[in-house]
Amino acid sequence: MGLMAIMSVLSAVLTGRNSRSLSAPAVVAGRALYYGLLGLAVSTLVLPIIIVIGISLNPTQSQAFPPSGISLRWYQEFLVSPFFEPFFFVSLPIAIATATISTVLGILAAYVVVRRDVPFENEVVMYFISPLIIPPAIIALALMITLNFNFLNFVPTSAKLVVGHVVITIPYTFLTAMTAIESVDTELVEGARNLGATKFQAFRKITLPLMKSGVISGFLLAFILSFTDSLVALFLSSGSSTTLPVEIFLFLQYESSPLVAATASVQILLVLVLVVLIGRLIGFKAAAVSS
Amino acid sequence: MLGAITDFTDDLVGQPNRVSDWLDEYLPAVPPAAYLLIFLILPILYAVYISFFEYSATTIISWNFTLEHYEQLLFDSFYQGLLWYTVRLSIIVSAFCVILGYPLGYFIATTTPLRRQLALFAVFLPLMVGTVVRIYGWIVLFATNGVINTVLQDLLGFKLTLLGNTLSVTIGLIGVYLPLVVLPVYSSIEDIPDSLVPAARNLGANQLQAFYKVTFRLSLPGLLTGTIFVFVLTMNSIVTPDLLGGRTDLTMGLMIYDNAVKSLNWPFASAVGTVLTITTTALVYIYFSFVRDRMGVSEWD
Repeated sequence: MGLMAIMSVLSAVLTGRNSRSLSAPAVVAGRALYYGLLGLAVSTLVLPIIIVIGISLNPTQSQAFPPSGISLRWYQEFLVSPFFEPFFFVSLPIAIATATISTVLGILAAYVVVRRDVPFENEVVMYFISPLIIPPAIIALALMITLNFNFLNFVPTSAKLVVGHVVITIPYTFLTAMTAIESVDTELVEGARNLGATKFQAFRKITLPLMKSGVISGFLLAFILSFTDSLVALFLSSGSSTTLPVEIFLFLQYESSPLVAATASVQILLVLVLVVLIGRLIGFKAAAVSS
Repeated sequence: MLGAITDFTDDLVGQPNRVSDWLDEYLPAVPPAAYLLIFLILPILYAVYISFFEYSATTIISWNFTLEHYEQLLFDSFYQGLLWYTVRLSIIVSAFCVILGYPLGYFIATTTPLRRQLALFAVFLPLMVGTVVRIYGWIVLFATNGVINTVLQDLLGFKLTLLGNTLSVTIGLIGVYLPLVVLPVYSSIEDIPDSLVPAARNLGANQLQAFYKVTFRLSLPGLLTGTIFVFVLTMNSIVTPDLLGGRTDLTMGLMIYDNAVKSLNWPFASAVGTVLTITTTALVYIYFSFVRDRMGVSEWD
């Protein structure tokens, strides 16, 4: 109860005596502290992104901020740079495959957890969100060691990356699908069943269309997470199957240039569009809370 | 009598089909459950298993049982220092994420809908953009000829070494993991009924007391979730300490990465991972029970 004592002493000092309101200077100081911390927090989050976008607009090789002029030169260079291929031919297909598989698995798991009478429901939910609780570094290490068995030599690296990304994205598609299925009225499904639909038909014609926005949001979340993941990809990437974030990571270990900024900005823009889309579909709050 | 008969017949109908009934009921969940078993649980168990065997330069694992990796990790002063550095870094980063994240979460929960949307967007977008891209922003800011140093040079005529030390790693990690505190704090403050704070004020509490005794206490579950996420992820961080830290500030995560990817010493990397996971879990457990006991929060959902 030490904290309690400190708080009561503190409020006695700030109010003068046992008053209902804080003294005016205390209120001013409190507001200043509150808004100061707010400003610091928001700039910690937003500043790096603004700087990256700013640098990418530099007309010269310099990484000055604010940029000395505005040009799209580095975006043109991106199209012929070594980042172009990892962007379009590695990261994009892997993210699409990951999101598709992860969405299907997430819906299946969520459907059973929500609609069927599952024993140990909390434990089952914990099991499906366990990739969220186990640190990604451990998941990546374990997968790297396991997927490198000799008899798995024929499996291409990109498939291994999809396997790893599906593991880390299942909790997100599972949680968004769970919320979505919960919002579908069971009476509608029962109605369809009464009219002669099989369980699968009822799911496909009633439940799935009604949970569409949740499913799409889960898909987009999984897509973004796969596309921007650097940790699992760091362990599983190799050769020509190196994803964009790993390519940027390796580049940054030795040098940096506005070219990286332009590449990063393209990634930011793609994520921005998808995040706005998620916001429109289910709202940031729902997406944020499930993540 | 009738009940006894139907019970009996129900059993007759039900019994032979019990397995297929069970399958019919839970079949959809089998693929996702199996997927996590094959690609998450078994690989982790396998990694723990190989950490008890010797490393061989030619075959990576030689199947001779040994405890030398754990002896080295637990008794060698270099590795003890490494673990201590990682724990200290994680505590500092978590603490700053609370100091910066709580006010922002509170702001989002209590402001007007439009500002809430904007602020949520400002928190959610960085979370989604990815670590590498945001770290690149910090590199540009901190570099020898970076934004901060240019301003310092122009105004005061000197430069600082900002990149490649513990300070830059700490700031980078705070930036990367801050949203993980803000979002759960916001959602638990938003769940508090609007009438509680005015009621406390009516009963004679001033703003500070009302905040501490009502809002803060009821938001503790969210704060706890957030700090645990930040702590666990900082303990295991690799990308940020690699890019923003000098190679003198090694973390346990970097030790895993170096051993697993660069020197292919998988048994040792697995042992580091095991020690790291056990340490993290133990510290999270201590923190959890400390907060639960001290704050008198008895209900968790």
